[in-house]
Amino acid sequence: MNVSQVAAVAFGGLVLLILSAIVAEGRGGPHSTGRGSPLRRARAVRRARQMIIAWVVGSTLLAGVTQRNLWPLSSWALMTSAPTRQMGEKPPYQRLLAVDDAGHEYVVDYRALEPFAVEELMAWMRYSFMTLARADQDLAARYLLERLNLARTRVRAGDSPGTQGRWLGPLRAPFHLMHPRQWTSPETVPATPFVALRVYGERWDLLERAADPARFTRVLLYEFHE
Amino acid sequence: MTLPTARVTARVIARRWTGFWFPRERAENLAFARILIAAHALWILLSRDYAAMSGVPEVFWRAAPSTLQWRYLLTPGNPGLEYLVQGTAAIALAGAMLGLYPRLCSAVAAVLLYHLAPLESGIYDIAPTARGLTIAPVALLLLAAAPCGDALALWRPARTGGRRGARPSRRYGWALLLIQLLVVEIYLFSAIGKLERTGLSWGSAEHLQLWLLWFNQDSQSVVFGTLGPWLAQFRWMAGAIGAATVMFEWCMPLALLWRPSRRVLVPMALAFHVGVLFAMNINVPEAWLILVFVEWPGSSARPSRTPPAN
Repeated sequence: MNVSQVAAVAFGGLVLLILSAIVAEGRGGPHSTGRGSPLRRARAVRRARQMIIAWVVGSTLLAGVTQRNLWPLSSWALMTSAPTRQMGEKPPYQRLLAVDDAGHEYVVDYRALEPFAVEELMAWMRYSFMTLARADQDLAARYLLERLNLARTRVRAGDSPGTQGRWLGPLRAPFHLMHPRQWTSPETVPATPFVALRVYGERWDLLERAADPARFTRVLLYEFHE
Repeated sequence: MTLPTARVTARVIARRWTGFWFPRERAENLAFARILIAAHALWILLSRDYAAMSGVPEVFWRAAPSTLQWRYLLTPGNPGLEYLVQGTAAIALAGAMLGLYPRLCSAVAAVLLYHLAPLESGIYDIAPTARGLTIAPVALLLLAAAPCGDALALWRPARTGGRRGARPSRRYGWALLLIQLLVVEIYLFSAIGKLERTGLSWGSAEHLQLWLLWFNQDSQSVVFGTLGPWLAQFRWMAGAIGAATVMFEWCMPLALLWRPSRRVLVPMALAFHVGVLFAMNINVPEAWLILVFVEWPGSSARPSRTPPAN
């Protein structure tokens, strides 16, 4: 069995055990007409709960001890590896910049890329986008450019670039990584639509950049023009 | 070991196991866990738009693992259906939180969140750990199997009875303890992973300095950019943070085993996450669920861990 199959069995098994516990409890409830003595029914409920406990403890420990992510029975492998000094090695970190018709580049606000969670999108860009055929890359870039222009229109109208969790306002749950708000007022985006999207690759050495923030390399990897 | 001795040992272990997992607990504490888990999941759900991810062009889903489809019953390209699922999940979570058919609502929400949550990261990662909904599906299932609506509920069906929940009972303890276990595992498994992948050197000053810089140099993911680089300048401080992190993570299971330790470990966990947020720009949304260790005020009856008679 592979990890996905084990994960599906772990969660599916839990669902079945929960159902069996609910059924056992229903048979022993105060309005139950189920057969058997109350003691026997109480034992059935206790047994079902014991099974749930054993299943949850066993399956979560399996995930944790083997460090195989059986989400939602997670291995919680957060920052478990050793960090390296070199950032953006194979493949490089990526940065999206939007370009207006005057050729000016704009840093992209993370909310403008909705419905994507920006860190998931950037991970996808890093590991999948560059392996696509050019025509497919253009398909993806065209969609992203459309999203950016919709967001630009909202910002020009005085709204937030994104719409997710809008009514929660500042109480909206942040993503796993924190991202700065770039498009905070109408002046931060151009009056005319973006016409191009550029993908840059970035590399740097952590200690060198700590001493001098300008010590990094940036290379144009891809450009899409409408 | 002779056979009778083995039998006695097995009985003692079984009795201790049962005594541990079925402590007497107040209904309010389990109900508070229900409110907390449901409110937290609802907060995450309303902050995202999982359904819309189903409507992005197919090219984005092309590299996604094929197991995504059968494991979570996800078929990208059906945003309408996903919006229906998302809306139902939100209603179920509200019901669980308020105490309207809380067990049924918890069960429905658990299954729907299991389906929805992977949409956030599915284009890249099949397991959306630490995106906010990792604990909720399992915790909500556990709440569905426990009498979580016996207290702090807007409405209780007649069959649950009005007098239940007045005193600590074994009916409530096991589910709450399992939910607390899920929270403790955030730290315990993270510690195990560090030991397995990196070894004891994970907490070294050199590693912590690099981690602090790592999360403070890509301007796309830096909101709090002062504390981390400042801390990284001091080797001794980075080493102290690394050692304290490792020690804290390994100590978290104490919160399950020894109730008084929660008074120290729970605030410490919250402080730890606030520190990580400001120093490394990392948010672990599930961290708020550490509050399942907080006891609901109002009753002087103390939960007990005496083993059950049978």
